[in-house]
Amino acid sequence: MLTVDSVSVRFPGTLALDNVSLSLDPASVTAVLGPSGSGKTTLLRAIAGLQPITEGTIAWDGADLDGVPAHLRNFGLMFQDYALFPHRTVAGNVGFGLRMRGDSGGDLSARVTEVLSWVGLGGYQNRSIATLSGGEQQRVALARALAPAPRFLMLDEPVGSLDRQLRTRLIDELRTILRERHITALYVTHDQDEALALADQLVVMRDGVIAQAGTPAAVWRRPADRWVADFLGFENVLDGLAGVADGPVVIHADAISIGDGTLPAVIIGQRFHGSTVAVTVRLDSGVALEAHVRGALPPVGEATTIAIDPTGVVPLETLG
Amino acid sequence: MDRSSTALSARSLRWAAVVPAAFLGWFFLYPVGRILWIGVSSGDDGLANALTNVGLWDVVTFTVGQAVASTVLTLLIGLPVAGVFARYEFRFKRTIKALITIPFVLPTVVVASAFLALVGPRGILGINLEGTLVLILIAHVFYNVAVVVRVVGALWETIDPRLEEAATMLGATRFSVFRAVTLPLLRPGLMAASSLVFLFTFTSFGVVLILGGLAFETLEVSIYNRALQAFDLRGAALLSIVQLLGVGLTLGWYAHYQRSHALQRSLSAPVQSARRPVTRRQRWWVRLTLGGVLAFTMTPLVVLINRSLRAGGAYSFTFFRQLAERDRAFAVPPAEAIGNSIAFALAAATIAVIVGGLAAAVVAYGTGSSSRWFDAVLMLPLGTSAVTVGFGFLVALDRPIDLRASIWIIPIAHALVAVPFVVRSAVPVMAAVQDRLREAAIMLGASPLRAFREIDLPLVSRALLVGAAFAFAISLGEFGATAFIVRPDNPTLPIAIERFLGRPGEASFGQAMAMASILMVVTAVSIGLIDHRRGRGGF
Repeated sequence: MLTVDSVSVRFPGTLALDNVSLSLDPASVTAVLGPSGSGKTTLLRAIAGLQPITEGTIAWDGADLDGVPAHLRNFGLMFQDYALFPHRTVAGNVGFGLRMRGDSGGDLSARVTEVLSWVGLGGYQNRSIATLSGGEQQRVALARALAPAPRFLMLDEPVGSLDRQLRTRLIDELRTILRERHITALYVTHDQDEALALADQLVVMRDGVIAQAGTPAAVWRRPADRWVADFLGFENVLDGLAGVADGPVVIHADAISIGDGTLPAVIIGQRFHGSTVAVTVRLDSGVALEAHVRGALPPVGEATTIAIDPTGVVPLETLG
Repeated sequence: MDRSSTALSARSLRWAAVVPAAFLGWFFLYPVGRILWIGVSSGDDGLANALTNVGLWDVVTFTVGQAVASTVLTLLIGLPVAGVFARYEFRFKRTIKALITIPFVLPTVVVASAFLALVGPRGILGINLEGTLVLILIAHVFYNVAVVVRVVGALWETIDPRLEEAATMLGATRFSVFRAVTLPLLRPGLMAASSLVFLFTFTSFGVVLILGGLAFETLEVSIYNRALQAFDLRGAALLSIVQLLGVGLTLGWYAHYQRSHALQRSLSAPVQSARRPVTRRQRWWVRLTLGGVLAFTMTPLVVLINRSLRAGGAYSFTFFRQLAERDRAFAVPPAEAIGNSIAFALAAATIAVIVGGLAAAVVAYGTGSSSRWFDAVLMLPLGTSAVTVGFGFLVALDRPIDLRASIWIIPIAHALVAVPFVVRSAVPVMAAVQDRLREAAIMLGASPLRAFREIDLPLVSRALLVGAAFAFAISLGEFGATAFIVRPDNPTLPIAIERFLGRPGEASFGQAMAMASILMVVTAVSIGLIDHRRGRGGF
C-alpha cells in the first residue's frame, strides 16, 4: 500500500506540492484530477522518485522510499505522449523493463507476447514505433509499463492526445485490464469524465493542495467548495437561492423538474442533449438555472413553474 | 520546472566543456587574436599608410562588387527554378533536386577544374575565359544556385497557392500576381538566400585564385598573396581584419533583419501546393527551366570526367595511371596525395566528432545563458573564412610548441572548420532525447548510467556519424586553410590539383582533371550517403 504523508515540493519561487497526504488501497485505481499547473504531475513524479521532495515521506507498505532511486522502486509509469524509444521495435520497447531485470531469450519473448495480447497488439513485435498510429502507440506504452509486473502503476494523461472516440474506447479497455489484473494504479488527468469512468477514489488538486478526495460518487454528489463545483463543470453554482438555500450552493441539473412545481419561471432556452434536454429557465428573481429533463416541454418564452428536489441541493463551503 | 535528477550534472558538463573550449581557444581565438595584434601593432608606418599600401580600396571594391553581381545573378537564375520545384510535381523530382545540389557540396578546386575543362585554355568549347570576370561570376552562380533553390523553394512551398488565386480572381495579371503577392511573401527567403550567397562569394578563394588568373584579387586571394608571396604579414593581417569585419557586418545585418521582420503570417501547414503541370504552357515552362538548370549544373561536371579520360585524342585511363608516377616538379606522386587526403580526412573527422560531440553535449544538456553563449562561440569558425583560419595557424601556432612543423596541423585545421557541422547535426538529436526517454528507461528499472547507454548513446551516435561524414567530406575538399599550412612533402588532393593546374603541359592538365574527377566522385558519394541516411527520417 502506498502512503504519501505531508509531502511538499518546492521549486524556485513556487510551492508545487503543499503538504499533500493520501493513501492508496491495494488493487484500487485512484484518479488525480486537476487543471494544468495544479501539481498533479509533480505528485506523480515525486512518487516515482523522479522528483526529489522537499518535505514529508512517501512509503510503500510502511517502508520509507526516501533514498530508494527511481529504478529500484519497481513502480511503472506510463508517460504523457508515451516516451516510446524511437530506435527500438515494439518488442524492444515492451521487453525493455524485462531486460533490465535480467530476463532474456524465451522467457522474455513469451512475456512480451503475453502482454501485447492484453492490449490487442498480438503480432506487432517487429513493427517500428514510427509506423504506429496514436492509439497503437498508447497501447504499446501501456504494455511496456505492465510487462515487468510493477507493484504499482502510474499513468500520466495516458489518453490525452487522442481523439474523443478513441479515448472512450481505450479507457474502457484500460479499466478492464486494471481490474482483471488487480493492479494498484494512480491515474493523472485533467478530464473529469476519464477520472469518473476509471477511479475507485478521486483526488481533486488545485494549486499544489488537495481540494477534495473521496469516491467519485461522493465528490460528484457533494463537491466540497465552489472551486471544485466549477471545475467539475456544474451548471448551477449559485451564491444562494431565496427559499432554497442561504449560502453558496450547487443545484444538480437533474434535480430540477419543469411544469409541476411552485416556483414561477420562464423558459429562455433549450439545447437538445440526446436522451435529455437541457432547459434554461429564468426565475422571477432573475437567476437563471439549467435543468436536465426528459419528455415534451413547453416552448421557449412560455411561463411555467419548476420544482427542486432537495436531495439535489448541495450547500458549499464558503472558502474558495 | 527544475531539472530532473536524471539529467547530467552541471559538474560533468563543465568537465565536458574543457576540451572544446581549449580546442577553440588554442586553434581559433588565439590565432585570430594574433592576426589582430599583428595588424594593429607591428610595422613602422601608420595604419592609414599601411592600408593604402595593401591597395585596400581596390581589393574591397572588387570583392564587394563581384559578390553583389554574383548574388544578383544567382537569384535571377535560381528563382524560376525554386518556383518550379515549389509549385509543380514532376517525375524524378528528388533526383533532380539532388543533382542540382551537387555543385554546392563540391570542393572549390573541383569546380575550378570543371570550368577549365569547359572554357579554359584547353577547354573543349574552344573559347578561353580563364582570367575573365565572366568566368568568376559563372562559377559563383554554378556554386550557389542550389542555395537559392533550396532556401527560397522551401519558403515558396509553404505559401498557400490560394493567395495567388485570390489575386487572380481580383483581376491581377500573372506578372502583377507575382510582383504583388508572391514576391513580398518570399522576401524572408530571398533575404536569407542572398545573405548566404553574398557571404560565400565575398569569401570566395579557390575559384578566384584558380580561374581569375593574375588579374583579379578578392580579399581572400589578396591575403594569400600578401602572406605567402610578398611575405607582408602585416598587410595580410590588416586585410584579414577587414575581411572579418565584412563577414561580421553581413551576419549582423542578417540577424537584425530576421529579428525585425519576424514572419507575420503564420506559415500555413504545407498545403499540397505542388501540382502536375496541366496546360501546354506550364509543361513547357517546367521542361525549359529544369532542362536549363540541369544543363548548366551538369555540363561542367560531365566535361570534367570526359576530359580526364581523354589523352591524345582517345579514351583511356592514361592520366589516372600517371597519378602513381613521381615527377620532377612535385615532391611525391599525386596518388600519394590521395592517400594523404584520406588519412587527414579520417583524422579530422575523429577530432571533429570528439570535440564537436562534447561541445554538443554542453549545448544540449546545459542550461542558462552560458550554454547559449558557448553555442554562439562554437559557430564562429563557420563565419570566418578558411584563409583567415589558415593564416592564423601560420602566424600563431609556433608557440608553445611549433605545431606548424607537425603533420597534425592539417587535420586540426580541417576539424576546426568541421566542428560547427558536427555540433549542428548532434545538438537537435541530443536535445530531442528528452529527459522523458531517459526517465522512461529508469522507470523500467535501468540505472541512470544504463539509461544513458541504452537510450542516449544509440540515438546520438547516428547523428555523430552524420557529423563525421560531413567532417570527412569537408576535409577532403578543404583548400583555403590548407594552402597556408601544407608542406611540400605531404600535399593533399586539392593542393595537388591546384599545383598541377598551374603547370604547363597536357599531362599535368590531364592529371589535374583525373584527380578532380576522383575528388568529385568521393565527395558526392559521401554527401549522398549522409542525405540518404537523413532521408530515412526519424533519428
